[in-house]
Amino acid sequence: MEIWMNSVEELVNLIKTKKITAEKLQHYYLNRIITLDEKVKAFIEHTKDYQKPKNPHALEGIPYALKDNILALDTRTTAASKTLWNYRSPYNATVVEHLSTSGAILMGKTNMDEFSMGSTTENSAFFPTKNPWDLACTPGGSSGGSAVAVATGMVPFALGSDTGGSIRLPASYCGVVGLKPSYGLVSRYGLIAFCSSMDQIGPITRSVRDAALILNVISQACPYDSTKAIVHKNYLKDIEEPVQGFRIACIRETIEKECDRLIKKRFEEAVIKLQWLGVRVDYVTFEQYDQTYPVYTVLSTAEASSNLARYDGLLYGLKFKTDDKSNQFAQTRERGFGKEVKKRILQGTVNLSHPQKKQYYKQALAIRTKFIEQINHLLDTYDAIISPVSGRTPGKLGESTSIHQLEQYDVNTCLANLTGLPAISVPMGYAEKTPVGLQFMTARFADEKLLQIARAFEKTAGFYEDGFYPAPHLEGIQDV
Amino acid sequence: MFKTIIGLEVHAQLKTETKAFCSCANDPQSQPNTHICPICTGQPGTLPRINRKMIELAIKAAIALNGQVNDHIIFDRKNYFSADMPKGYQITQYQKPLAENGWVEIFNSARKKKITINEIHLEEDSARTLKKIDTRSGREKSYLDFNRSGIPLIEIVTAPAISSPKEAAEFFEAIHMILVYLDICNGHLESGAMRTDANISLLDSQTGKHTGRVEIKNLNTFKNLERALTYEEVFLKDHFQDFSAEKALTKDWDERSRTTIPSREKETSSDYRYFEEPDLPKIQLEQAIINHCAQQILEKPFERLERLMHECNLTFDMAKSLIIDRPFVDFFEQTMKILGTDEMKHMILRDVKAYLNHSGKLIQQTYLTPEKLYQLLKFIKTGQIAPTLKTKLLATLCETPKGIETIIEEENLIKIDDQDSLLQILEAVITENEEQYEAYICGKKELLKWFIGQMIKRTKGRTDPKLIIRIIKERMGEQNE
Repeated sequence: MEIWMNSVEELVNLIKTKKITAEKLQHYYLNRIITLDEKVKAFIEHTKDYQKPKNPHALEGIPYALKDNILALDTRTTAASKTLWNYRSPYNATVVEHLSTSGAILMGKTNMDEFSMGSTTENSAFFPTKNPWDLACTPGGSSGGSAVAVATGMVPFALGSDTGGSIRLPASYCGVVGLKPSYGLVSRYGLIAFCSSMDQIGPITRSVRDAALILNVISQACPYDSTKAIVHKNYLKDIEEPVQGFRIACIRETIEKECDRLIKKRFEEAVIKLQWLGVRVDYVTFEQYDQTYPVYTVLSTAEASSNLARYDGLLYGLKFKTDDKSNQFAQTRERGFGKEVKKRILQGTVNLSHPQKKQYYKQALAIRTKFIEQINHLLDTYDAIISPVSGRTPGKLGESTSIHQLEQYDVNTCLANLTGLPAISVPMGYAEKTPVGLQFMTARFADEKLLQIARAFEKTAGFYEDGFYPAPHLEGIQDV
Repeated sequence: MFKTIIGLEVHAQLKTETKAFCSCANDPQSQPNTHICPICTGQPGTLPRINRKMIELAIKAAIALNGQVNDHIIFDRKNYFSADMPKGYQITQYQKPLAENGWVEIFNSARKKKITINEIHLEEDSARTLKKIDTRSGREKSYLDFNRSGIPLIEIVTAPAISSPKEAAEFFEAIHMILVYLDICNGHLESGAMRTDANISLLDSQTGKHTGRVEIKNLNTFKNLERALTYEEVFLKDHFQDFSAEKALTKDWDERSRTTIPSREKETSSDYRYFEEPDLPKIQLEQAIINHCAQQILEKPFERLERLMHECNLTFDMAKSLIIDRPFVDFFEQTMKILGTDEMKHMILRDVKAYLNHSGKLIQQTYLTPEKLYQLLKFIKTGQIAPTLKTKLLATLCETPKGIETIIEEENLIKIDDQDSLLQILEAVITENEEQYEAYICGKKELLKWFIGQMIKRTKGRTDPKLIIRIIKERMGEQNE
């Protein structure tokens, strides 16, 4: 077995039992990055030298990658935008602080859709990232770089951020595990904000157990984020407990409407596997389900229009110099932002302005409140809710995506962000060449239950080959 | 008949240790950009966190201004572009202010009037813009000082219930007194710790016709507020016909020309796209917190002012001058409790105040205690020390922790009133200064002062000057008149 196929847990063991040194492990992964990244372009920037682990703790010497919208001291943090192309992080995000204290080694910053706005990683201002399972396809987004880095074994785990599905979608398309924790479980301090009321940092890993392990580290306390809840849990503790007798709901709309034939098939197989585990699966309806994506769009663009107001080049980032000072800020923003970002800022500005505010922003807020009530009510009866992560397969690189197609990417995932629930994507097989994921959601702050169910499914899913996730058919991936 | 209608929006910086949403020092007067961090300079990824002390001070202010404190605190974002606002929005309170429906009684020697306060809300201050001429290019350049960025403010919004520029100034002064007295704001007007925007319009009470509204921005002295509004009142009277109700103007006060000039800001109606700040949780205000803040107030400054006027027989102006320095008024009252005589009152209001003014110290920076002051007065009254030593002794009492008896003993200040000793000293002066003695007895009477001076010097002021004069005159063979 190749080293890179190991989970974080196994690597920790290898180091602990001195079967491999931290230095050797790091060189091994560095080598993989150097060899493989030119094929998939997951990294915006990566290290070139060995770094000594700071602290011999839980993750001593374990390499990882960071989505490039999370600040790590002295690294460039660009959010894949021209406007921040030269921005050096003046401080550490809380999650980076926690990982570094645990002894993890930051290998590099991964590519993404600019300011997380997109579902393909093609909206990066620098270059698109490729899906390692099919180089002609996108890896999904916006945390595409992180998902690809893990799927190709360039790092054993990575962090992404999820505002409408940005961890789960690329995890699904790359055949890895992507966890969006409950809103408020992981500190957002040091995460470049897109939509503050929905953004959440989470791990992308090779196994559900690894997701729990990383969550244990990154969900530790943060004095800088007032929206972070104080929760002390060991997410690995009960993860192997059986799920027999659990009740799971499937929102009918997620598979009935425009769901890819093969994805639907994989989903039905997954339901059967869950039933084998002694789980009862019911099909339920969700009122106004067709409103989830519009509501998500209105609210996320509204907040984004405010969150992105600071990028004017005055204190940092791209600064377009012109003699006409009054025009300087507008010119900087005109040149610094990509098309999708500008579109969403404009859309959000309109949604918050009179007289549209009442019709859009306020109405969307009201529906969001109803969604929360409705889903909490549903979760009084059910332990979890399942659906395919997305009803469509990844698009071809360079293919233009219509608004309708964009909706298909995010429609099943954004509900968890609107309602603050934890959600996870676990591989459930392939649709054509690329993998697809199954999404689980549980009640807010029931992340341990979410991981427990996901772990039970993972064990029986049959997506394993000899107990391991299969490798993408990428040339050279096995022999590095 | 024109009726003047004025409304004020007073901004006051809260006297917290740290800023509203980060842990930088609240010290806007230090070297530019020395109290800044990623949060108050709006770096990507940063988040605000609420300063509890700010909430407490704001609640205290709301209670002092008779407002009804709402049971929870929510912050909103006010979105607009300004170079001095690094996040591109200001964190403020829009949908639900901290407190509503307050009032303040403005009050001068002549009358009282209640002014309604519509709301009191919390917000953050912006960075300070400094304009300097660049020595090389000769062009004016703007610089930003982020020490002020994120300092907590309360904004006090009155109803349009103020009826004259003078009344507006009195209101501003009343707010200033209350906030300074209760230690909510340092009150440094010259550095902008309190400043106000003023809205003025006129109403023709016969026809019911209104003028448009003029807003004058950023006035930071009582006098300038009154001057600016007076100037504007005349402007509106002159333009009553053409400046109609739907019009609005924003102006700045120009100190040099003492006129208002139209502001450079564009006259478009702004849409601030307010929405609830998603980075800050809603805070429930427990009654216990409000009670805790209320308990710190006990007596409001105007109540105390009125009480002092009656109890100590002070004029309005005297009482006011006391109230604006709380440690001093506390000292005054404590001392008056020990001995509430007019002599004591005058000693505090004249001698102690003179010492403080002269030394530039605050009462709490001295070693003076009510007890020590009482001892000083007692020693003078009983004739144990000469009244000439009062100023010197008071200074020593202020500057050392020593008690009066120790000082008298150490410096040998007991009054000399036995005539023989004084005569001996005088003989010594005469022996050493025969020229002056001869000149004096030959009729150069103006030398009397010189002899008095010599005597005071040699007795270190420990005698009564009247006694010295008597002894000199007797020695010189003159008749005492």
